[in-house]
Amino acid sequence: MPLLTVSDLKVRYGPVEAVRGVSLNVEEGELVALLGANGAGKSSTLNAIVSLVPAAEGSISFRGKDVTKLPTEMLVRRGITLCPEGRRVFSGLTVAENLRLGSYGRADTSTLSDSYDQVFELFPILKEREHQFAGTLSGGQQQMLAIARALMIDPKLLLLDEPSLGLAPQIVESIFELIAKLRAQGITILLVEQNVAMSLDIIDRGYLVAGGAVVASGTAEELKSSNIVEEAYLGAH
Amino acid sequence: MELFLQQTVNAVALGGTYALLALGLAIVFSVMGMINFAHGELMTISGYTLMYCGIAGVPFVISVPLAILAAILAAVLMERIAFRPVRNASGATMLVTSFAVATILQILFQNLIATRSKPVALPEGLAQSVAFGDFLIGVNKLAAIGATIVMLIFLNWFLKRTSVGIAMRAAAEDFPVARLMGVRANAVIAGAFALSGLLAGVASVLWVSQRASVDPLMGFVPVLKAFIASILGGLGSLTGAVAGGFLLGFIEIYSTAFLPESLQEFKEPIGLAVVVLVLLWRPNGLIPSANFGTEKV
Repeated sequence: MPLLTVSDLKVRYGPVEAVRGVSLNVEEGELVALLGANGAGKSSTLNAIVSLVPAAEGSISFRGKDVTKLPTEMLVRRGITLCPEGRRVFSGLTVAENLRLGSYGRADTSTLSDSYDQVFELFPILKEREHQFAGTLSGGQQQMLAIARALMIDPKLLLLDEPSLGLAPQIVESIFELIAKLRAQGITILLVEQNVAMSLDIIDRGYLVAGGAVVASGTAEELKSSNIVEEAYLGAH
Repeated sequence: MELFLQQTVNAVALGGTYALLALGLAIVFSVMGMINFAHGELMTISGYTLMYCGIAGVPFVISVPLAILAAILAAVLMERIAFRPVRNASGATMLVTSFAVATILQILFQNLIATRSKPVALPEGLAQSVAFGDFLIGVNKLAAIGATIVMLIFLNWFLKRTSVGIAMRAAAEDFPVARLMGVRANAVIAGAFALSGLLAGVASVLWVSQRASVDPLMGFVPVLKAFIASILGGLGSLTGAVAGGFLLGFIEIYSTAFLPESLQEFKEPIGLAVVVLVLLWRPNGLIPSANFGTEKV
């Protein structure tokens, strides 16, 4: 049974249908990506999975249970979290407070110190800047904090929305290395990215999204070898 | 010089009360984007609790916590009954709802309790003064200053050290992301109302201690002042609310004390003119909130 199954999901903003029947699944331990151009409906899909926007139609199930109608704060308690687009760290809170808040909905607090060890090992800079306001960090450091904050609930499924957006090329590379590292640590990840080339190097499988629907899917190798990716970006589907 | 010192103590006492009220407005505004004009009626509820406790012969040291508790309960109920259903509505809807709650409560007080002002029994000690050399300070003024300091320290501790407090600050900055961390929207908003009730209750005890009476409309003037103070300080900013409250207290007391006799009748417009000048100089208030206009739940 897949960890996450999304069936025929539709999302509407007023009269605009942003997601028009997306179906996908993520197996435990996999790193899966939703790839596609800006406005394809990738972020809306992630936001619907965590109930930040309502699913107009379709269903979402996690570990075999229907969670379509569950509110965001309850999904976190089941182990699904989203690291949102644009980082959105709490700039008026210190790094330590951001991390503390990250563990707010954590079901099992007995292993909380393990998560602190894990994030400080991944991001030693956050330990150094612990008492600094998050708003004073650089863009790359804020992205690290956003990911670290998401790791603090010990997620079973981590949704990453455009983690490389707006970062310097060098930092982008280290973010992709980090995602590969998290996968190696056994965290199941559903990644949304515009940077297709770099994503294809680290993912297990990918779904290509265009115009609010999945137009192709396959393993990283299959997607690399076909020209369907270029076609989707040029809108030739 | 002595007059000046005396008036400064008065200004700190009054400003502190305004600061507590403005903080209550600001806390709710920061998480919900709504100015709760029924905040004043929380004060009235506290005031009537003090009055009834006095009639029943309850000792003052017990009636004060009861009065504060009544305001907290009333604030939480207000949120649950009136404001939760309109939480996702427009700002105008929420504002009108808060006026409606205020009006309904005022009418209930008028019909069920009394239309006129009622005396509140206070311990005699409150009306006495303490001498510091030649310098006399009323016990009620000292109590007001002391209570303000205690509340500010408590609030600072609560918002910085407790998980719920940190969650409130996070929710004020970015509510959807706070929910992603597992922060329950209902809990944070109910918590914000409970805190605002606590602040209104304390402010009410201080307010009633100066006047020894309650009436159905007693909450209107102080909440209006608190609203001015929170605009002056920067809407939604907690430090701003404190600064605005104290500044307004100083403006009012000094203009009453030091304006010449012939200008006394203009002291309110002169005070408000100072407020306008401050806002011309700093249109977003003294210490504006970084989160003004952010998305609320």
